[in-house]
Amino acid sequence: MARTFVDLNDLVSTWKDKTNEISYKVGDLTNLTTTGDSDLVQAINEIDSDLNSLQAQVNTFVFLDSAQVINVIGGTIPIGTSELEDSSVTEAKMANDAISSVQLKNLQTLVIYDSAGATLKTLYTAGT
Amino acid sequence: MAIVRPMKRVGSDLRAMTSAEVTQIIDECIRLYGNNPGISLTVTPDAVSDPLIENKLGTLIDRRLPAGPASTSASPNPTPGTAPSYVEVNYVNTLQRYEWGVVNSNSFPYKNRSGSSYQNYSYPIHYNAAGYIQAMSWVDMYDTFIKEALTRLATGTTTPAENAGTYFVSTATSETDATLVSSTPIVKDTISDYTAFATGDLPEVEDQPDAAETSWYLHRVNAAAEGLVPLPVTMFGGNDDFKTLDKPKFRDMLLDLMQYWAYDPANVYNTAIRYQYGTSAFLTGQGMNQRGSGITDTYVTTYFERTGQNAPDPNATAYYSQQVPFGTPTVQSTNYLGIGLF
Repeated sequence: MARTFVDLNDLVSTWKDKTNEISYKVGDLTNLTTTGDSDLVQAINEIDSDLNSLQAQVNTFVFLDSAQVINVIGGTIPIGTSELEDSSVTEAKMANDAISSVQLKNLQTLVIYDSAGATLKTLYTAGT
Repeated sequence: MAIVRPMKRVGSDLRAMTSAEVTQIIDECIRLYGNNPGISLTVTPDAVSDPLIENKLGTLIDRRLPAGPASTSASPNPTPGTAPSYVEVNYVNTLQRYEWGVVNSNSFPYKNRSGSSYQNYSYPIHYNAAGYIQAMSWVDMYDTFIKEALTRLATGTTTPAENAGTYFVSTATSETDATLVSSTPIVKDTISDYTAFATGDLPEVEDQPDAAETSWYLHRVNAAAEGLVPLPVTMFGGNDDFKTLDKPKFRDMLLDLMQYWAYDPANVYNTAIRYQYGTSAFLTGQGMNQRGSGITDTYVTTYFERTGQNAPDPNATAYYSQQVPFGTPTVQSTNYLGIGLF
């Protein structure tokens, strides 16, 4: 949008319209929510002051490394049993070919023998 | 088709049966068949009632040569009597019946097991070549147990261990390790009393059988005493759990298969047990084995003319000529009960 100027050759009516247009673009000072609301300079300065104050607070933040994060939540590295929620290890978290018979609770075996008694295969399963 | 080794439980594990244990099950198949033959023979003159499951074995013929009709004349030179014709008695008394078809309308036991004692059990499991445990198919059951049992049953011997429930004939009414099927003979061999024809007044009664006759009776080989039977593990129930089949159910399973395949209504394999009468050459040609003693037909084939008058009346006015059997009766034909696999 082009800026609004009052030209020397403008008629009074045109001058009146452009002045009103500028007034609409500035807005109604009664709608300012800043503390100082009698003019725009007061309002802008108030915002600038608030920004400086926020920046000062941000400058005081401290960023933690991973060990400091674990320390904050009260855990250890590597993560121990206490850090895992019960029943939270899902199938997707298990690597393929990662479970052997030693991990099975109350291990049960089923041995399949050939007719001569040689072991053909041993099946493992968790017991009750 | 495969002969497999079914598995049995050893402690808490599974073990494939040895060949000796498989043989024990085959022995049990024979024993079970011995108590409930799939193909039964009975002695009855009755006609076949259901040709789909019954048939009569071939006709056995008993011949003897009687005298011909006497020729009578009032003069001393009567016309020679006419030649005699054989008296023939046809014996069609042996009824063969397919017991599985009688009870089960020919249905295949694998598909008709819903009413059986083993309806929730698979056939025995085995460890296949791919390293998996799987249930035996009916083909595996046939190849492993049934075929061998049927083959042994149909040999020419008559021992309980090998041939229980199969039949043989003999001239005795009691045989060791066998049960007489009927006191009615399946056939008799009669001969003419040729000595009676040689003497005495004419005219002779045309048919004069000798009191000495031979009868043949049907016997069934008894089942052997029960031996050791290893019980296989099967898959059971909807979860296909492993479970050892108990002896009564295993017996039912084996007997159903034995009876069905002894009948083999669909003619799938050449191991259906069948019986027939025939000569040795006929049975050999059919690939059948002889069972029991030969069934002979003995008679004389020669005759001669006797002439005479109604002596001793000196005033006799009747003169006779009659052809009467002559010679020593000899065996003219020999048939056997045959058993074979078809």
